[in-house]
Amino acid sequence: MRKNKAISVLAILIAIIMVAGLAGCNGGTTSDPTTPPPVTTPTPDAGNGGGEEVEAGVLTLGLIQPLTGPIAFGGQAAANGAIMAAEEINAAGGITIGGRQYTIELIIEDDTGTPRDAAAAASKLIFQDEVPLIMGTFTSSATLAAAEIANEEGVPIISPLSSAIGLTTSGFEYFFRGRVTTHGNVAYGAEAFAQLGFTTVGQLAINDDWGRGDLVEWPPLWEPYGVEVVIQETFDQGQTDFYPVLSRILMAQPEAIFVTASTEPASMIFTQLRELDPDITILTSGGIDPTQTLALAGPDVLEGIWFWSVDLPDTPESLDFDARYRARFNIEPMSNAKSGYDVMQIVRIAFENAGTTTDHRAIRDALRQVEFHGIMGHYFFDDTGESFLRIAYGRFDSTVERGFHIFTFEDMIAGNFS
Amino acid sequence: MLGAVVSYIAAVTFGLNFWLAMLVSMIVVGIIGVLMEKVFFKKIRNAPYSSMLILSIGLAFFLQHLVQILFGAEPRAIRTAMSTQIIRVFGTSITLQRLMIVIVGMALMVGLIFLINKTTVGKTMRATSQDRDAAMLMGININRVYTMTFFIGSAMAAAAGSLIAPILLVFPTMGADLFIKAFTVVVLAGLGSVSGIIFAGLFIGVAESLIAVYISTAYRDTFAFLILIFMLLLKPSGLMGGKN
Repeated sequence: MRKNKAISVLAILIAIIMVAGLAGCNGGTTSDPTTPPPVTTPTPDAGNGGGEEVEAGVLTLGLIQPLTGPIAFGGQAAANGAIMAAEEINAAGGITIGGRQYTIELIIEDDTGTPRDAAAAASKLIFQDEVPLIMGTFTSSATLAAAEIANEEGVPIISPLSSAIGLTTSGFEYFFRGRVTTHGNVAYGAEAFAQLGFTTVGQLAINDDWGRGDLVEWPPLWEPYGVEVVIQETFDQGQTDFYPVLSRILMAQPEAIFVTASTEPASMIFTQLRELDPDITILTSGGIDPTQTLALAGPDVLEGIWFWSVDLPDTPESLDFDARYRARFNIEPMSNAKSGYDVMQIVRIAFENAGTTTDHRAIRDALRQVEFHGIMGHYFFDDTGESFLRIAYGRFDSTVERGFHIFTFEDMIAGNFS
Repeated sequence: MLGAVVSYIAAVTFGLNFWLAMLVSMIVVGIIGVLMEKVFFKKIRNAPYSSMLILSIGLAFFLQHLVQILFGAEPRAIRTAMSTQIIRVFGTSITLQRLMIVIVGMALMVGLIFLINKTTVGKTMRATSQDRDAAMLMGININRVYTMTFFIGSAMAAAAGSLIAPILLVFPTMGADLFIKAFTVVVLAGLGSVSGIIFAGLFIGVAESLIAVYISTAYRDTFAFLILIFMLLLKPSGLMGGKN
């Protein structure tokens, strides 16, 4: 009888673990708890150029990022990027706006990643500090709250990180973003990958909002290029055995497999897929870090696999940025920092072209005209504030030193990927 | 998980041969298992089975987090030459690494069954599990039996972790996916049935894969739990379990 009792206790325990596991899953996809780094004190170099340039003005800009709370690590990086850009601009003599030199001063507010604090921060920057432009923020829901206020007051706001589609489809005339949306990525990616010459593809995606979004968005965009999605499958976070799901996809006999997964599961998927089929074309979305994937799966497995990325760490601009960033903050750079940096530079160009520090409408119109080659790529905007930052395409290749080739969109369309 | 982590440290940090690393891992984890027995399980030897189960689950979570603090949460890879050698048979393919898992796994199981059924050590183990007090009266040093049992059990777990490490990645929660499956296998087999475990494990594994490939990947895990529920309802002592 003891055994029976033990088994029923076991059953209850399993139930509890399953529930706990589910709760854990949900938590994992919505938040990314990372320990916030020591907060770097913003040091606006307002006075630096003052000695030489007698009539230099000060351009005060607002910056909102989560600096405390669960996503503070990423928010701090974005803020650091903007701070570094502002410091570099000031050190080079500042901005020339309408024939007058200005140094940039940033007023930095913490929104903790929540809409409530983002709204409060935006109100403070607009009504109290009367800034002509806000850079921020991180989570799309927080950005939406800040953008509503900024748009109502006619103050341009540009987010370096938020990618929810609703931000640019809500009719905000004063909202801009410096990062491509999933939608924008997909449109480019489908056309670029269609050049590789396959006509049928199987999709394997992680079972969350991102993965399911890819399953919905890719097929119709591939259709005009004659590519048909013949099978779609999902996997769960934490899954380690992909043989069954991959076998199922391979049974549909697609010419290529498209994987939506982040670095860790993608490494396991590629390894197991290559064991099952050494020849099939493998494509993956922007979720992997190429260098990290090389470390986990090894060059043999990855050879010939295609990926795209918003952040290609080995471009000369990027490497140069990394060195400057490490020297300035003594921490490793991440892509958020590059976005923060690029957005500050975009803002600089907009002010230079607008020729005013007070006319919000002119500043907004100038932002729409900005075309800028930054660390993350080539930026330009449309009237809804959507940026068309072009992503780059990569193919793992063990014959090159860094382990992968990089191709531009134009390379892909022209078929220059041999 | 612990087995895989120790293997990783032995193979990657100290550059040992994979099989040697696995042996080191089996010994190290075996000793950790014995320590666990001495420090924790010995204290509740007279408590019901359920207390031991809860204790082991608690310890599993504790070790997971301890390793996360000491070793880090980021996944790492052990790569062996066997991972890239692919053997093609009957229109399908298998890497040498996976083939070795099957071969070494079988060898370990045969060894374990032999140990339990044919040796004196095994006999004392079986005696202790059937009736501890009687075994004690027969002059069996049951402390030594517990030590041996925990060492062998932990070493086997370490072998499993080490074998699977090169085809997965090594990180603290790598075993979480297998945790519930392992319980299901135990329930299906019946507690304490070594040969039952082998068949139950094979049955659930193969059935899951077939369902995922030919029916739907979404129903893969459902199957394991359906088995669990039916076993608990119909034959709680397990397929191979005796008469309670």
